[in-house]
Amino acid sequence: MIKKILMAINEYLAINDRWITIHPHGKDSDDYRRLKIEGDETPKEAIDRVYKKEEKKEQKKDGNSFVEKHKKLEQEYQELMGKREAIREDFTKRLNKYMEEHPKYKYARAEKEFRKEFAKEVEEKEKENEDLYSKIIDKDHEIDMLHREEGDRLNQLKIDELNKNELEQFLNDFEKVNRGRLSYDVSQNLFKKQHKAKERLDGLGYQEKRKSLIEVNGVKKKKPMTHEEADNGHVNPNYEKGIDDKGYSTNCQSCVVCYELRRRGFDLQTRARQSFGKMQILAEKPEMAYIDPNTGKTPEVNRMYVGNKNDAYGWLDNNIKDGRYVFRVKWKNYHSGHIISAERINGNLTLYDPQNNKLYDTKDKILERLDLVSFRGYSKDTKPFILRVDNLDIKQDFADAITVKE
Amino acid sequence: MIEKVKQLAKEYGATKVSHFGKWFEYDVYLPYFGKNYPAIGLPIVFLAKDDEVRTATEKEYKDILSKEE
Repeated sequence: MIKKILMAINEYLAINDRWITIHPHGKDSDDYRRLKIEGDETPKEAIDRVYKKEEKKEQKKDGNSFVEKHKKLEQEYQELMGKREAIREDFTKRLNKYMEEHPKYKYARAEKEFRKEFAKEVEEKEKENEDLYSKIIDKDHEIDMLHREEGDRLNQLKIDELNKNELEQFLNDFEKVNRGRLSYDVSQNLFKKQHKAKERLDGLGYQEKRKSLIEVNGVKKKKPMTHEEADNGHVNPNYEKGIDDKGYSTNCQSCVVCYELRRRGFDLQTRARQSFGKMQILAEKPEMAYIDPNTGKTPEVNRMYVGNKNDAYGWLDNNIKDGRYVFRVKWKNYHSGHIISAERINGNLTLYDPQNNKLYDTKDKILERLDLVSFRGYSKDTKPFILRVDNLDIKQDFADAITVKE
Repeated sequence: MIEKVKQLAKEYGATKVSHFGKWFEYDVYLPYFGKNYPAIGLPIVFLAKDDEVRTATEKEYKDILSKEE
């Protein structure tokens, strides 16, 4: 009875199932395969699901085959090495015994005398060894080739196109390859790929739990603002009002972040600077306010190594393209510096200081602003840098610490 | 006088000041805001003469700081 019910259910399901027929070798080929379409998926999605799964299985099999082949070769190699060791041990044992029996030969001449006395036997043993040695060298070469093959396979992978599991598989496989057996170029490339894979894996991990800013200090995100809407002194209004708090003339590190928040649609203004906490961190390392969504880490800044303001202008003109940037400098003969915003407005390189609401939109104005910038100094910390910020995430705790509701 | 300079520097959030040199009849003092050359803003330069202590104007600090390092 139960069997009958089950059969009826199966029949019902089979009638309602959707199936497609695939001819992997062309329409005229007799070769075909039937695929069941699951849920709402399209035929293409069904094909991708089934074939990608098989591809992965195949890749896994390939990966394992390296380990298995290597294990087998290594075992054979160790067996040969064991034989060599046994011959050596036997020879040493007999030599020691000979030396004990012939104390006069105990020192330098002992081996020579021993070889002389047992010349024929030694010759035979050496012949046998020669054969063994060439076998060992051949086996070692075989292992070399296997590692090189695996190294080449890993080297051909495009890290940017790998998903999380594939990246983990790559890192796992990378650990199994003996880099000493690879050519220098392949080995160097693989190290670079390993670094990139780790970074990408971190980035994917970050993206999984990534949260966009939706509210800062009770201000909800609205429509992104243009430069005109975001500036006009809204970033640091108390500076122009001359409010008796000198923290409004030392808060540039926070003004650039607040300006970026305004451009993204948050109607906020900057707090007066405090010489501790998040504001001091930002003053020393302005990049700490951001996270690079590709790596999940604090972004790398782009430092400028030039000797004078004209070269600096050229460098900025070459490096500031699309997007919004911050530009940080150290003043000449001074212990601290400044940070302002930079972007192209109507195609022109433009610097904007959100702390005092000043715009530098011509080459002459920018050169005048660069007048006091220090380009000397041995420490890289003294070198000016830019950082593109419009494509970075802003850390919630920093946004909350440096801004207030307008 | 140095106490007055320190007091003014403190209002700006500086932790200490250093004597930079003489500029005309003024003693020039520069504030220190912390390690790694922190980003603070436009330069703040203190000028002291007799009992008077004040911050330099943009024109003045440009003249003071623009000499070769």
